[in-house]
Amino acid sequence: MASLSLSKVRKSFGETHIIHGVDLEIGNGEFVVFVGPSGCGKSTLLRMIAGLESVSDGTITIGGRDVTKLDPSERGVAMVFQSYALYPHMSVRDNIGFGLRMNGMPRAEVERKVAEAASALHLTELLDRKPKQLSGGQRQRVAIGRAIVRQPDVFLFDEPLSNLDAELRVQMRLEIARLHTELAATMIYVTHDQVEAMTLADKIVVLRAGRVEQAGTPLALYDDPANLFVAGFIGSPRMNFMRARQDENGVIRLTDHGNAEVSLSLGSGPQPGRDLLLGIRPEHFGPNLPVRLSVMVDLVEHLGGASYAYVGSGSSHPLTLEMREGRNVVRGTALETGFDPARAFLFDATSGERIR
Amino acid sequence: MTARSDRPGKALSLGLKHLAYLIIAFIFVLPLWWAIVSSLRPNSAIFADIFPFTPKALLPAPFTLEAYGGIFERGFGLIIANTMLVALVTMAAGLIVNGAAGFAFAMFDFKGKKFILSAIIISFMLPFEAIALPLYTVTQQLGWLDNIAALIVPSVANGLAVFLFYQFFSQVPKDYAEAARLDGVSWIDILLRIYVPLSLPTCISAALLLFIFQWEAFLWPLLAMPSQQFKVIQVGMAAFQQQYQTIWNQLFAVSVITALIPIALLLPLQRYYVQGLAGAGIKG
Repeated sequence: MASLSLSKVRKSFGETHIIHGVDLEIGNGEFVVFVGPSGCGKSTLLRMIAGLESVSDGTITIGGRDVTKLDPSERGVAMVFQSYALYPHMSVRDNIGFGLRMNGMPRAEVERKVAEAASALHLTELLDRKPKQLSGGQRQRVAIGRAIVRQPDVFLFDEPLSNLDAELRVQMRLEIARLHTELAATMIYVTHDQVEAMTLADKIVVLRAGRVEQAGTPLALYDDPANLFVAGFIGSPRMNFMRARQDENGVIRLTDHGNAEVSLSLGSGPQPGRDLLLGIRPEHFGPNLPVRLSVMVDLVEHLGGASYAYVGSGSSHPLTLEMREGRNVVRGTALETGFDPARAFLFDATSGERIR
Repeated sequence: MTARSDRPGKALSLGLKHLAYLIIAFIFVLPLWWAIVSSLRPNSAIFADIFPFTPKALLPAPFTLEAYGGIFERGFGLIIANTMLVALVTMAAGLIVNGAAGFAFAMFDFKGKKFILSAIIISFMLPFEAIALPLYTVTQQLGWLDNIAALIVPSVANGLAVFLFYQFFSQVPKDYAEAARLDGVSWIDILLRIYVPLSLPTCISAALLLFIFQWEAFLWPLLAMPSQQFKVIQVGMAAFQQQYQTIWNQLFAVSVITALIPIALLLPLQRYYVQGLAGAGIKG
């Protein structure tokens, strides 16, 4: 267990800059999730922490110790790979104990540690099997077991669940959460799945194009996104964005929805004449709310507990409405709905910055 | 109805197919078979049933093992032992050198890597005759002529074997090496305990390649061992054809042994050999 800090960490391949000066503090025992679209640099950043990629500039410290230039094995980190990276010719037992044996730990002690980890991960029955005789979930647990036995200061997970089917993914997600509670270890977890991020994290770090867009608790990111990207990325289904403009009286109006007036309590407010976007989450639509909208439904999905109505599909600013009582809504229904301006977020459409 | 009338036709075509296979197989095996048969006949009866040809030419009659007795009396046993020594030492050293080189090319990025790799690929496209003379000069300068080192050392590093290992190792997911590095495993242990066990077919292919290369070597042993105190098999075989007479049945016996030893090695390992050369796929 240890804290970890990144200070002005950069990564470049020649003239191509992958990571642009990341600063981040991760507390002792914290579960941090790096999330972002493909190519945002989240895996690269994780590999830099692991020591598998060199750091072009900046420093990484683990437990107060500068590890920027240290070999991967000297950093006190263990990593679970997306591919699991289980050695195919070794049994589960040998896979878990390999690193310990190679570092000269006495055989009896290796056996004891392997047995401990195996029992914690329900692998005891499988110790003599080869990886190819295991299911995806079992392989994943072996990979985690291999990380656990080393008792690292920091656990690193690189998209560990992306090769599993949906059901198993939920199950393994719970298992990883349980593991985090039991080990109370510092964990960094990379995923592009924002549901995984929301459910597992103490702190989410949203990355885009090698920059940290926002870092905070899942609910802080959900309730108070710093910009358009974070607002759109966190939450499922994603936040709706409607075009808006400020008229000469300083009133925000929805241009695509009959210039409906939205009265927001803003500090400085937007600069006049800027293109704006008003963000509202699907679950915040409902009847009898101050801002009224009339929309035509073009598609409905009934999930049982909730229904999703899709409006303006194919346009540049479609809407998704979540309805608790919407069983009779069908394609072509004209829907009177609305939202509370207190739930809305205003963004500058050009810069993507939040206007408060 | 059609199905019933098809059946005899099908059987016939299957029969014809197999007959064709048999004939082709027979044509391929015939030279080896004739060599074996001839090695088991007395020298005086070698050509007896050929001119004019009778089917008896394909049977070892009259049967005798005198040719085999004769060649071992003339020191053929030592020649086999010599060749085995050269081939096995080359094979063992070659596996280490070429395997390590292939691993380095697959794992590390360094300046000039592409250039060196291209040079290695070109090296195995060059015919040996093209480098025989420069190699002879170098060997002479080193004072290795008539020394067994002259036979072994130049053959240890083999471009094709390096390339085979490089190909295989670069297909192995990098995650294995990275996981091991995080565990603090040294590069040599990563090679020996993870990559080598995974590359068994490649190791076997490379080993056979090196072995057969030495087994078939003729020109170089002839040049590098001018005094012919230490003879290897191809050179030794040529010596059975003498200036004034050829003892045909002994020459055949020598040929049979020369051919059978690599075949005996190759047959059981054939599966791996083909797998290795075809660049076995990897499943994680």
